[in-house]
Amino acid sequence: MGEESKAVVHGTWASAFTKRVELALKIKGIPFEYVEENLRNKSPLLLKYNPVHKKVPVLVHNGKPICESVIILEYIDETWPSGTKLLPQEPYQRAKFRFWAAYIEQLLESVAKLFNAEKAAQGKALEEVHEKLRILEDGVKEFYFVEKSPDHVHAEKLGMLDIMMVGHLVAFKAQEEVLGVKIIDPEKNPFIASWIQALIQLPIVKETLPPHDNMVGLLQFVKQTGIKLMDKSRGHDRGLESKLQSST
Amino acid sequence: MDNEVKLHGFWPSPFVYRVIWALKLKGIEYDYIEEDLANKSELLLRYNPVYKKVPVLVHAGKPISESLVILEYIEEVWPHNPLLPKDPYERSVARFWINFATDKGRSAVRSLFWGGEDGEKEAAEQMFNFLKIIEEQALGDKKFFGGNSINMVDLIFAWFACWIQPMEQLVGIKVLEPSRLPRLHAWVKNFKEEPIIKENLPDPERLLEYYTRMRSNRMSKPN
Repeated sequence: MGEESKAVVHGTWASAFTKRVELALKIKGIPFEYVEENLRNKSPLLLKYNPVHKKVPVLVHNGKPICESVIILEYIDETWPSGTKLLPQEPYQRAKFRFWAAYIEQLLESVAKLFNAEKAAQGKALEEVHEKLRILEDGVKEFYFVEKSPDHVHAEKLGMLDIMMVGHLVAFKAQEEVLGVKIIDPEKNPFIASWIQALIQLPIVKETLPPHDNMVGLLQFVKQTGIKLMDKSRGHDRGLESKLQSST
Repeated sequence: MDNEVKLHGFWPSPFVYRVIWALKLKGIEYDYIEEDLANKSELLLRYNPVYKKVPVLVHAGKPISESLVILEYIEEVWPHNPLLPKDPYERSVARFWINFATDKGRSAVRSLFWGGEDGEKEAAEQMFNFLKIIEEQALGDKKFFGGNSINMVDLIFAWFACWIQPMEQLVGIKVLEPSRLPRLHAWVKNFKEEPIIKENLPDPERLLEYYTRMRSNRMSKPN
């Protein structure tokens, strides 16, 4: 395998969107090189590869850059078709997958809103998150919940929706700790809670996600300084992680 | 019933038109159902319970919502006259621009129409900056975003070919000026001259009327 055909991921350790790409490549068994970007001092390569958004993650394959995590996931599935499929093969199932993938992104915007909310607005923001989780639950059940248990969740069967959710899991837990609220509440969203529980046990997930304490530290910093989390973008370009690194 | 294709739509919607064009470009027969969005049909609410919006494509009784999801579905089920490149990398680039139009484009449009936080001039500049990126990096020197023929990216950017004009009239600011955006301006002309597009466009006067009503309704509501 020559230099050109290798895969390189440019990302940052706390970026859930970056985690999606790493996880997808690992599930497919594709070797890759990882480049940790300092978003307050972006590498010339990153600026060359993503001139429009200047964000992570970027996957570079055969010297060509692919940007935007969901687009990268589709690219990975198309380029390495053997092994685990990240999306179903049948067009109608694929359409449903893509519909719910887009919905997950919306859900994440609500979670970011919750995180950025003033104390007074937190209750309503949390309700919105739970409502969206309820809708998501109903929608994805048919893919997963055979006899009320997510027993599809094995390492070789993880798909795009699992990957999208799992990237944010550590962030969810850290956010819960920092905000003092329950985002994933087994009483409000039992299937989501059990789905996430199953995912988080998998070795491939455990080894990919950042340590909980690091996330908590970062999010506490973000909350204190009032920096807007995510800000409607679907990648990270704010260099929060490096701010934290420089202050510890 | 078996392979019937139905499209639930609303006449001013650019999202609906994307699907109409895709179906016609591929020569797919379909039934069109006009929805009154102030009085949505039972069917629409059943087919799209999450968003309750149009377009909804129904193929052999199975509903698909969200225009981008619909377009990818159409492309997969009817792969002739392709609307996306075959090469996975080229495909990812097309999807990138589609995403860009959907994210940044939509917020630029909203600011222009409703007046951004910093006023109309700011909104117009934001729109112009967005269009400059499109012209330089997505379109370049090509005739269409798809190259020599239109593809899905053109269908997504069609908003700027046909819907921006009534909005510019209404707001009183011209953003897509030939002197400032010459290549994009040329694209607008070429796009509207494509036979399938030409025969399937909303009436500009009716559109202006509709936008005028929408804007005055919203403006008169207390904040």
